[in-house]
Amino acid sequence: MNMQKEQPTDETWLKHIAGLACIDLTEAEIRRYTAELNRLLLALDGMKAFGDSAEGLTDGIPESELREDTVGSCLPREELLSASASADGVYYLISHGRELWGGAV
Amino acid sequence: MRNPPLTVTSLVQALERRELSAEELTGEVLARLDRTEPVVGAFLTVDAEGALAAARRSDCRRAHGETLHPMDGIPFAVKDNFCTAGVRTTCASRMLEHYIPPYSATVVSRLQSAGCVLMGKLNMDEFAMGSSTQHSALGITRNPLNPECVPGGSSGGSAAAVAAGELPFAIGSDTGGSIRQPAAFCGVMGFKPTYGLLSRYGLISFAPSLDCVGIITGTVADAAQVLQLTAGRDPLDATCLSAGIPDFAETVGAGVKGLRIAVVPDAGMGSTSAFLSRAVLYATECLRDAGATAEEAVLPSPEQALLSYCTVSAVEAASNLARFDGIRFGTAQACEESPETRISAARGAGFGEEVKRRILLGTALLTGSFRERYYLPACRLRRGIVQAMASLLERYDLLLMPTAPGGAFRADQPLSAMDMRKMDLCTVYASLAGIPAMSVPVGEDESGMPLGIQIMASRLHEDLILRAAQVLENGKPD
Repeated sequence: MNMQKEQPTDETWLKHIAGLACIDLTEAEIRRYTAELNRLLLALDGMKAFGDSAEGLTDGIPESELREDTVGSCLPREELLSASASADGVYYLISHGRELWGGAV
Repeated sequence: MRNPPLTVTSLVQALERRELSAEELTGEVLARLDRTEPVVGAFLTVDAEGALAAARRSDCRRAHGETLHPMDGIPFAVKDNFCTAGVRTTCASRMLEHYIPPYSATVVSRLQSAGCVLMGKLNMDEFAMGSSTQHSALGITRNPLNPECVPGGSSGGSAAAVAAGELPFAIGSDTGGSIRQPAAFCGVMGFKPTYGLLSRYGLISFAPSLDCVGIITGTVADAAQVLQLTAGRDPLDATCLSAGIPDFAETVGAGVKGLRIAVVPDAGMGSTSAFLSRAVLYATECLRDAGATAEEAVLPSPEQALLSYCTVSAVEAASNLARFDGIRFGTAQACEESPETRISAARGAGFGEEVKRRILLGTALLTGSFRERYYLPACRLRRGIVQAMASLLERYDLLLMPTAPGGAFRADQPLSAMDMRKMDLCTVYASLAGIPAMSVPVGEDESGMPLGIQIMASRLHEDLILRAAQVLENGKPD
């Protein structure tokens, strides 16, 4: 299968991808990554079906491995907006208790 | 360029017997760093002041009979993608060059809560993307066994520090082989436990469905001891398992009598070097001599596993690294235009070549028809590999194969992006399947560099791996 016929993978395409990824690229980078991504996509074209493709993609999580989540009430918008920012930001405690060796840190 | 080896076991004994204090031990490690770091370059940050203060607190506890844990006072360091409160955490990237986290990763907290002394942060490939540590934006790490060779990656700093005798153990992360491959290149033990056995809280993610916290040590017994201390449920990581933790130190010497071992001599690559074949044969004979039964087995194509890994990890990385926008994290560039322009400029300047390549690939793979064409088949392929590994490990207790296609390559040997990824050929099986795997040094290549043999088991059977690794460490009786 020739991917070039189906979806263009030229420099214009690469610029679009870079825009989606929010990464500024130089013209030299655009040329280089266009060539490299084309090579990588060609390699990925070698991917073959394996196993039973009709099955779902993920297993369900066993109940024994589920944790109990606790959901607290949200802070009111006014309180959030009026909070003054400290030097390293503002943090809200979202989880209580840590099971660490030797006690809490 | 190596110091005499340091082991956890011998240092614990020396501290218990008061043959040396934690402060003296920390001073010795700092002296070793002065000697070897100018060549090896394993560390990005050395926290000498913090380490000496922690060591003095450990000595104080010991003097008052209040030691927290047998490993109280033992020095260690972590790969620079683990958050450490108050200590710079860079991911070896310009993007996080000056980032100081307000909290520590659970694995770091557990070690420090037991009294272990954090010496600093270790070099790596930027955001753990690479197999040689050459993609670090902040420094060069050399292989202590031959400074002209790479240490492997991405946990190259962790492996090099242990191999250079700078530390008794180091913590790393393994997404597609990033602990096992550098351990093999540097001739030390590299252990990637079952996905979720160690908490990922505070580990700066690369690909969350694959990322594992792991351990690099000089001996198998040390790996068991560090694993015991760091494994276990963490309410701060929803993917962390709540399984009971067996006594690894108790079982490590139990031998392999009666265990069934599947050997894949070429790891499905079709052929290997004579040196690697000899290493696999030697390891097989060691295990047979110790009472195990070994048979050759076949695995799904490693190239297919690698393609699945490349796709899944790139897509997850592209999504994951979206948070590094130069505003919340990273170095915002001076720019008077829109926030979008500012973010794109910060990401363009802050990320290195390999990180940009993987983000672009991951973004591309989710656009238009590419999602159906590449990403979904890669997920199905991964599921097939999981099933194949599970099926094989129902018939066998352990799986034995090379850790990497060869030994450490020279730093001046140019490798293409795809060739570099082929360094992960043998390690991605365990990463995709989430099963435990350990690299043990067995034999040497034609240049005298170490070769690693990888032992895998089914989920949560770390004890079986440690037992086999101990047999390989002891070697064949003369």
